[in-house]
Amino acid sequence: MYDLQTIHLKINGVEEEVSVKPYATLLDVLRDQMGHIEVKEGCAVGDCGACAVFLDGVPACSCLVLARQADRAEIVTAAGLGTPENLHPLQEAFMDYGGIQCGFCTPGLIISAKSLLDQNPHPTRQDVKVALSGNYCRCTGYEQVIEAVLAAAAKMDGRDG
Amino acid sequence: MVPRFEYYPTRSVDEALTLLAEREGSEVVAGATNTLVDARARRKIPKAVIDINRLGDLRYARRDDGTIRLGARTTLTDCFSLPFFAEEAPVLEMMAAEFAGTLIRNRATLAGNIAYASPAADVVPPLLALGATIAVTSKARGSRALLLADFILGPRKTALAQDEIITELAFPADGETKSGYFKFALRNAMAISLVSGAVVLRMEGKRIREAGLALGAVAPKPYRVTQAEELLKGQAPTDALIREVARVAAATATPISDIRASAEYRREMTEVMTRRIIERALSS
Ligand SMILES: Cc1cc2nc3c(=O)[nH]c(=O)nc-3n(C[C@H](O)[C@H](O)[C@H](O)COP(=O)(O)OP(=O)(O)OC[C@H]3O[C@@H](n4cnc5c(N)ncnc54)[C@H](O)[C@@H]3O)c2cc1C
Repeated sequence: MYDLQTIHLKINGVEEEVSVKPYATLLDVLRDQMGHIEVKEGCAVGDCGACAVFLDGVPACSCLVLARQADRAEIVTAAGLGTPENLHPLQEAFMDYGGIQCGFCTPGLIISAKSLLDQNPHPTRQDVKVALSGNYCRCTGYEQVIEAVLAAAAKMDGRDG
Repeated sequence: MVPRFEYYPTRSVDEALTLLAEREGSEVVAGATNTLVDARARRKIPKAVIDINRLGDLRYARRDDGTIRLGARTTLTDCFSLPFFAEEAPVLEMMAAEFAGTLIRNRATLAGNIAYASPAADVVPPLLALGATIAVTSKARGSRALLLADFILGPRKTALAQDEIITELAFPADGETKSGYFKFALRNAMAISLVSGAVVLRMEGKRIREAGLALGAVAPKPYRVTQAEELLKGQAPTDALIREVARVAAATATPISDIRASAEYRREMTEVMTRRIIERALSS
């Protein structure tokens, strides 16, 4: 009834298999079973956005997705966007503009910001605020985050994200 | 931790209906944005969830002659991002823009919001104002259609039988319409409505041929304000009439007082916001 079942996930470009309980969330499986601790557990009920990942290209709170609902999906976490040697412009801008303080909300913010820039490479300040409205940050007061996203957009202008 | 339940993926509506009928205590899950929150809080724990979230044949938005048809699994993001909605049902686009935030909108479905039947369900007032009907189907009894207004019975109560699923929402697309929507809450995003409302005016030149006006979060269930609709019908409204309509609408509200706002405040805001959306709709 509550047996483990194997699911297939492609995470940050790597095909992986994992055995999951029927009621396990994608968040729990990514963090606890697969070591993707860049995906953060904040509220675990969809309010805070810290657990956001791309699920088949669409950003979502992984706490509100059952792992089995994601079987055969392609997942990209914030760690999949760049490497320490070759950071994504958003990751770089978050550091340069103080968009990171404690860092807990950062992976989720990066996912939402990336999704915005994919759809709208020239966002206004208001566009950024609206796009990040499902991600809570208790340190920065958001100003530095907004500056970082606008700076990344300017830097990425004319090249692929 | 999420409490235990079984999980069944499905590949067709028929398969979902069969499982739903066979598995006692099972319920369908779509975006899971209500189901998983309630399970985690142990408010409601299903024995088994039947996953319809990958059923492509329940996700569509199209026009059949004079009828708009939306698949049950249409997401809030679909309403916000597909040009179809801006053209054919702008009131749903306006609503979706103020619903939760992007991360939730990407998963949350129209049918899930309706089936959950929260008094503050934001999807419901615009669909009521559009005069929507809802199609449900079961393995044993086939399909039936009912008015959305009759489908929602009260807080968390609907006319849906345990073995039924919602398949479609439909409403008339006839003629030129003007519409307006408001969601009044304590913040601009990620907030539960203190009051919400939608207006859909089907026009004939400067005159309103048919009016739909619905309110949410100020009664046990969202409802159409028929007295106010009657006042608008056949009129080319003046400022005085719009004020009167807003006053009548607010007088029908029976809001609660809670930690977020008092009943008096909700009623006052119902009047102010109703007036504004009618004015805005007419000047659009
Ligand atoms: C952080 C957060 C913010 C939110 N903000 C808002 C908001 O601003 N406004 C608002 O109104 N709501 C809001 N919600 C509530 C929720 O997101 C919505 O009600 C959503 O539309 C539910 O859709 P779903 O597909 O996720 O439903 P699910 O959780 O999958 O299902 C909910 C219920 O509907 C039933 N169901 C789903 N699909 C069908 C179907 N086709 N046929 C029959 N039954 C079905 C399920 O069995 C279940 O009982 C919010 C939730 C969260 C977590």
